Amino acid sequence: MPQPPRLLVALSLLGLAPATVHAQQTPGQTLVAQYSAVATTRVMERPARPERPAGIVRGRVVVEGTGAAVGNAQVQMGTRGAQSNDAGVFAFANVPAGTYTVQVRMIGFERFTRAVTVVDNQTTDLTITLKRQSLSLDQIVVTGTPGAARRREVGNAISQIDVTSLPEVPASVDNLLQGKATGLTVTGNSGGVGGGASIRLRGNVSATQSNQPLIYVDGVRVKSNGFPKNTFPTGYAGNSDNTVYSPLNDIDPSDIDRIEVIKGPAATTLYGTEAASGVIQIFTKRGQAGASRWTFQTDQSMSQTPKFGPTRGFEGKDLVIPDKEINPYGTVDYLYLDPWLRTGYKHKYVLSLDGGRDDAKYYVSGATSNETGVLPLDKANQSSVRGNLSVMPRKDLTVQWNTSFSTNNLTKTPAGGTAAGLTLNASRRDRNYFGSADPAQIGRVLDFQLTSRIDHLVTGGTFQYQPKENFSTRLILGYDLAAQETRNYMPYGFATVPKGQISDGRYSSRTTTADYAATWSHALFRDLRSSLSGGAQAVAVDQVNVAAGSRDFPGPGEQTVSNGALSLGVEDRSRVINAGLFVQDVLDYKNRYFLTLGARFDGNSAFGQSLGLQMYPKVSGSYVVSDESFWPKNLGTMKLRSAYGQSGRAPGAFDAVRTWSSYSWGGVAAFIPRNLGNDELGPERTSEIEAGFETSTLGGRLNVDFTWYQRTTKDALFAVSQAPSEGLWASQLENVGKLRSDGVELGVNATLIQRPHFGWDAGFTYSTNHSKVLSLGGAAPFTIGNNGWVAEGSPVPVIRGFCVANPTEFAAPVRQANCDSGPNTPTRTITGTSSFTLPGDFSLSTRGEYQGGAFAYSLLDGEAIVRGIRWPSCFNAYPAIDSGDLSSVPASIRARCMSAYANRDYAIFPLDFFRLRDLTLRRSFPLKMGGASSAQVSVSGQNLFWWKKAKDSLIDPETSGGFNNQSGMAQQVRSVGGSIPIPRTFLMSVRLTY
Amino acid sequence: MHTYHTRRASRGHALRAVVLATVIGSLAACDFSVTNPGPTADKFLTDTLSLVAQVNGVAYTLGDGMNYQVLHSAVAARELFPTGQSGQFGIEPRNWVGFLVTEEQGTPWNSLSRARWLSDQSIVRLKSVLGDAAFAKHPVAAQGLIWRGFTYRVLGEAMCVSIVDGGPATPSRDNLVRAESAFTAAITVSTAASAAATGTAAATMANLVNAAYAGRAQVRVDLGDWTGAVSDAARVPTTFKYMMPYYANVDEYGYNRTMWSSTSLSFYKATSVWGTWYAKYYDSSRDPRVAYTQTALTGAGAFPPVGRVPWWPQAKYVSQTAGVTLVSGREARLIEAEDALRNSDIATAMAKIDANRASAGAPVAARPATLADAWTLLKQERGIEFWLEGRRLADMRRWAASQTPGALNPLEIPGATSYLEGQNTCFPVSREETNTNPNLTP
Repeated sequence: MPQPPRLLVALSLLGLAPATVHAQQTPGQTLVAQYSAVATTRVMERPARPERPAGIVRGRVVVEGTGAAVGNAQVQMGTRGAQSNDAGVFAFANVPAGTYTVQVRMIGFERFTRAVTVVDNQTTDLTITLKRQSLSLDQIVVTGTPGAARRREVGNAISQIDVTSLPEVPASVDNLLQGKATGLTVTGNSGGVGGGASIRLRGNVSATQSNQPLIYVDGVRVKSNGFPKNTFPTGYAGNSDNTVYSPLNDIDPSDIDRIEVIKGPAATTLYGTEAASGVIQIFTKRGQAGASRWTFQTDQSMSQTPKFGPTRGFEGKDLVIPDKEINPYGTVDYLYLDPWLRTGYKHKYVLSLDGGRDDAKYYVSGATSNETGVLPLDKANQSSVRGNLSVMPRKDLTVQWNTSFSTNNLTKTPAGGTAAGLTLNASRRDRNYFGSADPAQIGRVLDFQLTSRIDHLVTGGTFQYQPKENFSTRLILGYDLAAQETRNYMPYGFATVPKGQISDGRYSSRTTTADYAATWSHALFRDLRSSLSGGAQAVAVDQVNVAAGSRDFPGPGEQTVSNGALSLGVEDRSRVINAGLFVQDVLDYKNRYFLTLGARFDGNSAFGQSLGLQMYPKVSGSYVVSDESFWPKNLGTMKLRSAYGQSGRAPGAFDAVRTWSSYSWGGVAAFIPRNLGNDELGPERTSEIEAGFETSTLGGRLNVDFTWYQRTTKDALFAVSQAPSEGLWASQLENVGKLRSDGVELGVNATLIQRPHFGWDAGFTYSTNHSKVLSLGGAAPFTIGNNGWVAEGSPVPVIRGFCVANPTEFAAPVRQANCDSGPNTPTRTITGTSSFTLPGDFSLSTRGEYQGGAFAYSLLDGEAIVRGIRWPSCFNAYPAIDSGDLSSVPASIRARCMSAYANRDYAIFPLDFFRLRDLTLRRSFPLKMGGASSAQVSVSGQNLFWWKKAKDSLIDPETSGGFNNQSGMAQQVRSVGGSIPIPRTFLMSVRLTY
Repeated sequence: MHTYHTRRASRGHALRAVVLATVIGSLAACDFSVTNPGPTADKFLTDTLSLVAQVNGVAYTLGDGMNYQVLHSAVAARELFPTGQSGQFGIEPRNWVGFLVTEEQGTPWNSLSRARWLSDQSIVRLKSVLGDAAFAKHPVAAQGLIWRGFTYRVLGEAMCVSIVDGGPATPSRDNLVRAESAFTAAITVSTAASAAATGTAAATMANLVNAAYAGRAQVRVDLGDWTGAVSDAARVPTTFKYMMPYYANVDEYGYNRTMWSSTSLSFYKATSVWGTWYAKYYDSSRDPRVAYTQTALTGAGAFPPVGRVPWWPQAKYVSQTAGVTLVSGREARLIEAEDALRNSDIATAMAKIDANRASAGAPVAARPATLADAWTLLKQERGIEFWLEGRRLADMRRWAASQTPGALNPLEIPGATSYLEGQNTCFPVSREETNTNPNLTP
């Protein structure tokens, strides 16, 4: 008999090793070899009792038609539970003889149920074939409802992402969300390490407030907006790398079980004032009943920057580079950044353990990674741990407690829109701040040190008490602590600040959640049931930002803030409390007609003093028409749904109060007007109506999900500008505006080919979003930065600026004000997925995404053309301009290539782009090696190919950068530039299950 | 037994209902009022101890506005030459060639308008909190009135129109009238405060008295009241100087912006003395009032008609904290000199100029042959004396309006040698004002 691996022996001494089962030879001989690795997979939870005869049940879960393995399927046999491994294999040992019901569940498949007879001292082999069903009306969803609800009851659109069955290897949560749901737009923002993506659900819902959706992890509200940028506490905020770290970076994708996405007020009413931009709820793995299961995963990847420089001139012709413009140090392809770009590497290791009994399950994991980015200083070292525990101390009480902690140390390259930045100086060549294109000169900016450390703790518990079958209560308590330390250090002798400068910033955000809900279900009449729910929710967010900075060091050496001759400190604190009550009733008639009525009553500390509780109503209905007797069964399932609801967005902590800022003026204090104040300030109120259907037909091979929506924001918070002659107070938020947006969302999933060992599944999503300002409430059009304007009849926001009134004339350009280019957010998003099941347990999947219809200002272009920089997009025009003969140079080119006519606004470009987001080849197979039971090997390429509409400039339409504190994901209006493009990444991942 | 279970169950339900009601009730009774520290609530500004900070706020804001007004007007008047650097600490393209246009020049209007509003508000609040009697001799009131006077003087000289509290646009002269009124009040209050003070405080008040007279002399020149101007100027000693201070904040925005836009200590190299009349004058005279340094470097960016511009940084402001003169005794002498020329008294004018030059350590000026030459010399002298103080465009406008004799140098007026395509001599109303002021047309 082979000896068990040392690791297993050691672990068994700790009580953590999987029980070893030595399968007896059984009639299912052909499966024995394939299943030999079962010995170390999921086995029954109770210790073996060898004195009592028992049998073994083992099996493999596969997809109907192709026979591809289904990993992570939940297998229930009586009171025993197990989960299939990556090879689709599961097993139960020491099963007393008898007849059992085996149930197998997996999102995206029909539930499998079968009776199995177990005989003592024999092994029963099962092959469980799951039938695809993207639309499962009995699937349980919890987001946007007081408790769990079956999908058939829900009148609003809800997207579920089953992370465990994704064919890709997600590098981050942002990456995981990208292109996975209709109406969901995830924009990468930066090719540097540590940046966070902007997430929008059905576009912008607010012109002035954050449009990032709320994020919940296992019912606990967590920070969803970005961390403060690493910049000096006062002055020019561009002295940075211009990326904003996202709290979502702190969640390890391999810990995630599934994600639910609800997109707007029609679904988010019960979340109240803060939820108008939608809610994303992440559910982490809880572990399955059964013996301990170890999973080890390693991801090794390398990244490279694709060519991103202009390929055409502003006049639209292919770029010809004159000899005099050739730079010995770099190429137009990389905007002269060639000397500094490198291949980035990332090494990641994840180890997890899960298991337990029916009344006590656990999931623990640890991950560590280190990454070097494509820019010379970019580096990230991240570690995280998670422990999830579910216990049932009583039959009617379930307690789940989840805790995660992550820490991330980042080092960044100064690559933003700053005189001390690499991107800006390299692209301007000899007309940069060094007056030289020599890398030895430009490279001096690399003495600029940008480091940060982010610690993130999320802990919370759910207490579910169900004393009676028709009455349940749930209490969630949660705490999210996100802390960041940033250091921004220009040493003594640095090029832009010769005597040096340093700052250290400490930021923390504490979010405390208390959420109580109770549901009482009862029959009102025959065939009519009611589920009445009520509850309360309170969320308090405390933010503290303390920073110190100094400059003018006494000399060289490693410095701290204490060493500067001039120093300052800043402190910002705010606390915002939002709390409310809700009531909801779901009326269920014949299990196919559902009507939901509900309301939320909310208060918020940021409201004006004269404002009381706000009420947000909701009503929705769903109709499972396919359950009707007249519905032909061969048409499959069909649900019609419609929903209406309201939600809101609260103003900022100080917006309602008239306040003054205090500045230091020669060592004494000076008052400056800050905020005008408004006692009647309240939330924006967004109403949304949506209608659609979900259908699964052709035997589950074709699934279609369609939604039309329209939402209207009344009392929209607009930053009403104040006349400078009346004190130049900051623009005061007023509830004066009215906005509207609408769109359609279509998701189609089809199984095109389903043969043994070969299958082809394809998916397609199409989402539109068109917004418009219906009324400014008498306020003047106003800008919210980066050429974004809020103006009546225009998108929210519209990109506005000067344009050339006579572009084709061979004359001096005539400048025209207030030209609208279009919206700043995509009006159409299309994703396509294709997945092939191949012989030999291989699968090949691909995913692409197109975003179109948006416009933005390009910082790098705009700032160059107004400075007389010789810009590559003008190379075709320079010969004529330099000769002084402008007869062949039209006004549009003169405006962009001759600084006498230049204006930044001429650097507004369309943002349309396509990216091949992912291409993955994967093999999952049983493995008998080193104690492993199965292995999954994936080779993938991400962002391998891209196309952009603006070939005449623009680094990467998906990136963003800014001169102010609004950079990256914090940008209200996206502008492009400064940040380098999203790199293409080649990744190899190996996952072993023990 | 059955009864017992039923009772226990009933009690359990009742208990749960009570717990539920308590939870909901306590949440409903939540107190949403939160006091966040940091920004100062308006109500605290009525405290006597807050008055100084309010007056300081006027000066801080005036200094901020002057930072832009001085630098941008210096380029339009060719006190400095643009290098092509724009954006942060730079000069915008229309400004390069002499224009002060709305799309590029919002900040001077906005900042100086805020200073004006604050100066009015501070006086109102001072009177309200102190009472009229105390106000009439209070040192803080005297200081507030001085800042108010200079705020209106800067607006009157720099802006094309005057707008008060969202009202209609009126001639910029209205600002000067208000400045004169503020200085008159400042003379009264500071004199009274000086009489009541002792020691250092008395010296400070005496300084304010001089500033008030000197400031009123300035605006009386602008208003054409030469009798009044000369009368006030006569009370100001030649050595007197009243500055807008800039402090060594860690934040580079708080620095003297003219200095910071073009100095070896900063990185922006946005302006150069190359290409200006002042460079030529300094080369021949070494007059310290227009000092600059020649370097082999070029500015950041490029000014296309020239290409890369040689970077010759100004040396008048050599530190981040260098103050900008608001008024001085030497200006008082030049007022007297100009008044003499108005009366064709070249000898008196030259005596005043000679005295000034001696005070400044500058060489003696060549004797003018004619009255027109004398006017040319005076115009140059005011340019030299007020170099990089934001005064040149107002002088140009004033002399053009009064059609005084004498010429300006070709390097400071539109033409091929100055690369000025035109020349705006005042700043426009900002887009923010036109968009929000119902009395204006956007």
